[in-house]
Amino acid sequence: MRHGINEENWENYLDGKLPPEERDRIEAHIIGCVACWEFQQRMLALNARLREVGAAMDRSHVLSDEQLSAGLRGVYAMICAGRDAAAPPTPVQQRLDELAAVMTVFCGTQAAASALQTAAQRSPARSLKQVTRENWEPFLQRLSAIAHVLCGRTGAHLVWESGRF
Amino acid sequence: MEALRITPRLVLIGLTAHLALRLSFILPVGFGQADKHETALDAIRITGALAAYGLALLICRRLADEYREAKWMRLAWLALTVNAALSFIRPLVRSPLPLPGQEIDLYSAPPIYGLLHHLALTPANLFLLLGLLAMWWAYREAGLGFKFQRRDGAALGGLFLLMLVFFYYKDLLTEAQALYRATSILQLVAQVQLFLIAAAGLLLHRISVQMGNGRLAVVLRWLTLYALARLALVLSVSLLRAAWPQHERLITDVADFGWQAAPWLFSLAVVHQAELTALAAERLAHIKQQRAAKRTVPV
Repeated sequence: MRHGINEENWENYLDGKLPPEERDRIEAHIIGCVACWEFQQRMLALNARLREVGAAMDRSHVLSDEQLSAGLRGVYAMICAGRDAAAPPTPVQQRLDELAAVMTVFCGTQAAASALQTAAQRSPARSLKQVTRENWEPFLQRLSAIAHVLCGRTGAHLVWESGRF
Repeated sequence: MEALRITPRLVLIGLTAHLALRLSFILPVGFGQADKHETALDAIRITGALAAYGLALLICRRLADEYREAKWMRLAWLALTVNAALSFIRPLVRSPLPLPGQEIDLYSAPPIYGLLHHLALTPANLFLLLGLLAMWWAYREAGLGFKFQRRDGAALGGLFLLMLVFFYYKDLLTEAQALYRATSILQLVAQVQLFLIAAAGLLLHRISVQMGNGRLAVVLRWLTLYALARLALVLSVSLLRAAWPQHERLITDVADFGWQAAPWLFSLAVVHQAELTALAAERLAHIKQQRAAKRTVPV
């Protein structure tokens, strides 16, 4: 919260989703506050640029449902892990992402994410964040067992082969 | 698994062809007059049901093998296999092939066919119910956090109320006044089973919604549709017949489109599941191929 405007207020203001009285309050403040005015200008320019780039990407790339789903799942996984988007993923993280992508096609985004978490909880790692190369195999075994229920023996085998280092 | 190559698209073509063929015989004489082409329509009905359930039977058995290490899922697919097998013989005992032209409407068919029909129907329904429940239980046991929600409780409560209302009007059932007491009891049992099957279908639907997307959700949605469609048909046909008894033949002719489409819905669920396995096998082969290629690259 800065100058009585929190992050959510800014977000809704820039998206044009604020109620009129709240919008008027922020605009009245911006008129008199150089720092907030500069921030608003920067955010507006950034939003405009993002829209342009987004539109250009839309025109140049047509994503399949599976690609879109895998991309969203990746973003979601990064947010959940609190990972810096700029930091390169570790080999374990990469493998987890691949496994989630494989399972998403068969049993859906949410079930795939739940399967990874459940397998981690049932393995010595105890949580997805604690899965390492050292405790990878028991984790993968648990995940394959879950995949067996969801997708059958072939699906479980696929998960096992996809997850193997 | 050669049966895996039967795609959902092919099943949809089968369904469309079946209904279109039926329509082509009914349209010239008009709805309500289908008995004029009884023999041909009987043949279409029996062939369609045999094709749909035969296909499902073939694939279900293989799917049970696919789940041999997952106890509840194996049980589920074995139960669905038995359901498919019993459903496969059901059209034959309802109106035997050596007697084409036999009246198929249970209001006027010889009483023994009503009994035979329900003797096959009741265990088939039981195995279908067991299959759906075992499947639901397997997904719950997997511990993926599929939750029973308040609205599911409301839906099941609604179904239960509907069942009570249905019991009140049970005399509307086609076999309520059957010559054999066993027939009317079996028909009543079959209707209760349909309510329970619909309830199990709703549970699976909740899981499919919680999965988000993916091919497995599609399988569950077709199974749900199959479970609900039959109950919806029983209820709507009973009510319509009671409300407009003078249009009984018309209602039967129209409702038979739904009844004859139902086996194909089951086939679609099964074929979608088989497609899922086929896709997994393809991807597995691809990964193995890639691994093998890496191993053979000279260092």
